[in-house]
Amino acid sequence: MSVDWTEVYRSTFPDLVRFLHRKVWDVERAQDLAQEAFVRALRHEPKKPRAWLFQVASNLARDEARTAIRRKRHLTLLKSETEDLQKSATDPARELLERERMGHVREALDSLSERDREVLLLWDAGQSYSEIARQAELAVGAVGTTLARARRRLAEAFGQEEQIDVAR
Amino acid sequence: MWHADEGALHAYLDGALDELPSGEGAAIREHLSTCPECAARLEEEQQSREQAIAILSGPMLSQVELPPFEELRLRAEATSPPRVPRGNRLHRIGWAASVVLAIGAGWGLRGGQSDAFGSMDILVEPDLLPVLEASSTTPEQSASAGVLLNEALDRGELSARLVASPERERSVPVQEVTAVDVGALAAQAMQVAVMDVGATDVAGVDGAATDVAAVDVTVMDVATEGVAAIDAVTLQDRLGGELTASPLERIALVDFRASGAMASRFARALPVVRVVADRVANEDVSEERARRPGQFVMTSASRSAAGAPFSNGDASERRRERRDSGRRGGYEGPLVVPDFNVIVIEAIEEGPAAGGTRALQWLTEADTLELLHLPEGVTPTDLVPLEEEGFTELFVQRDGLWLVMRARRRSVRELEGLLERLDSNR
Repeated sequence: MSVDWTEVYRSTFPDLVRFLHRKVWDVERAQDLAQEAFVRALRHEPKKPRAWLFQVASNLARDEARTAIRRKRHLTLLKSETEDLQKSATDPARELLERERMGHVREALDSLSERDREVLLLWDAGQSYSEIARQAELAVGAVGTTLARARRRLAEAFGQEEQIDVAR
Repeated sequence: MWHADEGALHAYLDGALDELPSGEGAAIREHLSTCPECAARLEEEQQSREQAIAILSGPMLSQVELPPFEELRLRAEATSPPRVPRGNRLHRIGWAASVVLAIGAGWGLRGGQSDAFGSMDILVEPDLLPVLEASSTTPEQSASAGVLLNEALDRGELSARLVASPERERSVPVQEVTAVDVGALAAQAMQVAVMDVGATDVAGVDGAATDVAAVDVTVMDVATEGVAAIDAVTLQDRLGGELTASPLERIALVDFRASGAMASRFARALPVVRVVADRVANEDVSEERARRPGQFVMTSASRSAAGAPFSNGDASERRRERRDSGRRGGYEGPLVVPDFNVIVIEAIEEGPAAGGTRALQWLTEADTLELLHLPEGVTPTDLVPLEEEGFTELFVQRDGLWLVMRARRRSVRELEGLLERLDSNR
């Protein structure tokens, strides 16, 4: 059975960018990496494109993080993060709120263990339990438990972030 | 009476009950319709689920531009296809097949040259899929070994395992086979393709012939097409004593050198009990390893059959042994915080902290934790002050040596939390 790549692209690309964005926290880089994953997929022609794309996207995000100039990257990241928001928001007050909120989401996600975060982000990007299990090397029956824990911890951590902010 | 666990409740809420193994979903569904207790818990879990959805939604990524698909197709066509050995006619067959590589004397090529296949025995097994790429080792490293490589065309199914050839079983000490085993098994757990297995150091560590064998396993990460080397070394000689367990567990200690994602994946691939670090240049490692000064050795211990981390005394005894034998004592506490992937562990070669170690770990893919283990006599005040903004530092003393933790945009309290996790790994 041949794969309808145009359809895979249309349906998977936005999910892939969403998934990558929460790993690299930069919209443009997330889009670049998603494109790179598709270029590789077109070369490899995997039978299960969606699962394959998420696996490769995850690896690409890690490779990005591995660069020797990581420290400088951080500063660049912070800058572009701000730029993204400047592009998207016109109301300064709203922009400030959005930026704060994004910071809190990021901190809350950071506080999860790597596996919990990966499972949560895969689920958030629309992956099925079977697909998540495969990528995170979990039994399908363990995906629900992992998600339950990750969701609870995310909510707790996010709540704490907001509280700290109120206290300031 | 049984109740549905929280995982089952979330699977129900996510509409994933039917994905659970045989019949579980139906039983949970039926139970939830009759159990008021579980129905109440379901409501709580639903709230948690909705909170998470709300947190992860938001305006961060409202519009994703979809670049023209044709552009990507052109890019894909313009870049070269994945490397497929010329001799491997099976690659595109599409049905299951496998390749057994017998790595033996007389194979003269190294480094992934496809010509190497011309002199290999390729055996096809009907249940498995073809190898992505492999190469033989140099003639002088020609202890015979074989590695069975399977690569499902739909990636993610890749596996590699050792198949010792009859010659090898006759002529090579069991320790060496075990070291290859570890490398290959680790590669399997890492889901990478083994490209090359080469035996080195068969003779002569501490003057003992063949008691310790080093094995280089070169692996390829299929997804990123990156290549990395793992050196698996049995340390039976160093430890002394008899170690018996299953093939993987027969090894009490495995030294491996890898960097980046490979290092952390390898660490996870073996049941790591403890990580110690030391400079490579010392007298009880082989010449081959000494030729790579400054490289870091991570030592990973697998559990013995009895369940104890080591079968030869406890850690303090070994530390004493090392001191007594005149080895330079490096930092011996936990080097990395559990649960975070290791980016790199390296010896600090220059600057005020020279002689110490540096471990960099991912907190997320865009954020790192840096741990500096300062050498004896060096204190944080000797360090060049951190100039970059937005980083937080924490200095603590452990076993008389200073530990510096650095991370971006984190409060000291958060760093203390990470320190607790580090200490729990002691």
